[in-house]
Amino acid sequence: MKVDFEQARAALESAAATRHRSAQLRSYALASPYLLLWGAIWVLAFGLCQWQPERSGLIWMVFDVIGVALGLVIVLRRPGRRKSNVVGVRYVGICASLCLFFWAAFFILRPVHSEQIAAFISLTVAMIYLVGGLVLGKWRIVVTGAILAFIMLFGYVFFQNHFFSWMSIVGGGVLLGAGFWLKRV
Amino acid sequence: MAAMKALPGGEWIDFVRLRDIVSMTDGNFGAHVNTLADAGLLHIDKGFVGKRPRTRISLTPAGHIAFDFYLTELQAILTGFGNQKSFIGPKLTSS
Repeated sequence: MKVDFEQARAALESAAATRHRSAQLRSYALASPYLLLWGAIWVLAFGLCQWQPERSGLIWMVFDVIGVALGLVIVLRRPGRRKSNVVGVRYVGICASLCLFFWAAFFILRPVHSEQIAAFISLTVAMIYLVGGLVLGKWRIVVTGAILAFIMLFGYVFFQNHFFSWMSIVGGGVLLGAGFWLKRV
Repeated sequence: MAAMKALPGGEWIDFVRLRDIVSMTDGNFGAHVNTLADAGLLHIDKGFVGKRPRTRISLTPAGHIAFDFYLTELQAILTGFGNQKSFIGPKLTSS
């Protein structure tokens, strides 16, 4: 089979584009279970916070532990066991760093009511998605972060009395929707 | 093959997902997969998840080498070293 210059260039470009698309979709598929997990946790935890606002700290502490533990299970069940262990250590490190960051932030900012704490944490999560997506070139993650930031601010300004319900239904819904979106080819 | 090269060595991918990534019809894609599997370039694993049938595909070590060779040949044509040459590919066995 004779292959000329143009055919070779077209074949290489096609192979590179397919490989890039495959790698992109693989990374989305790996991220999807975490968004589904945390989407479900937002629905449940924020829902309970609306019902028991004075116990929101305790509710989130319990759900955070559940989320981190289930996230670790997802990490360890990923294909490529040896690499999973490394990612597992990183995952625990990320969670520990976030806990320390939020503790330090609230120590400095001294929030007055629990909605402020929830809004700050949600905004930080949205920013992590937004900036992380931009750095890694994953535009679906960027869109998820931007929507999450927008709906959080919108809810905080216009639905502050029902902020936990708003974040449960809309915030959790966005994360669940993003999780299903990332699974799609 | 290009889509599968993006996966870490030995990682499986669902037939349906790979078909969607390369945007091909079931029949056309299935024919390509069978041809590559017969040449020893792909592994095909047919099983069930619950009661649903599932076909998974992975690139064999020979598939990795063959695809790298194919890319090298194409690059050689672009750089002039393999210009207008006959593309024969590596000799591969399915054993």
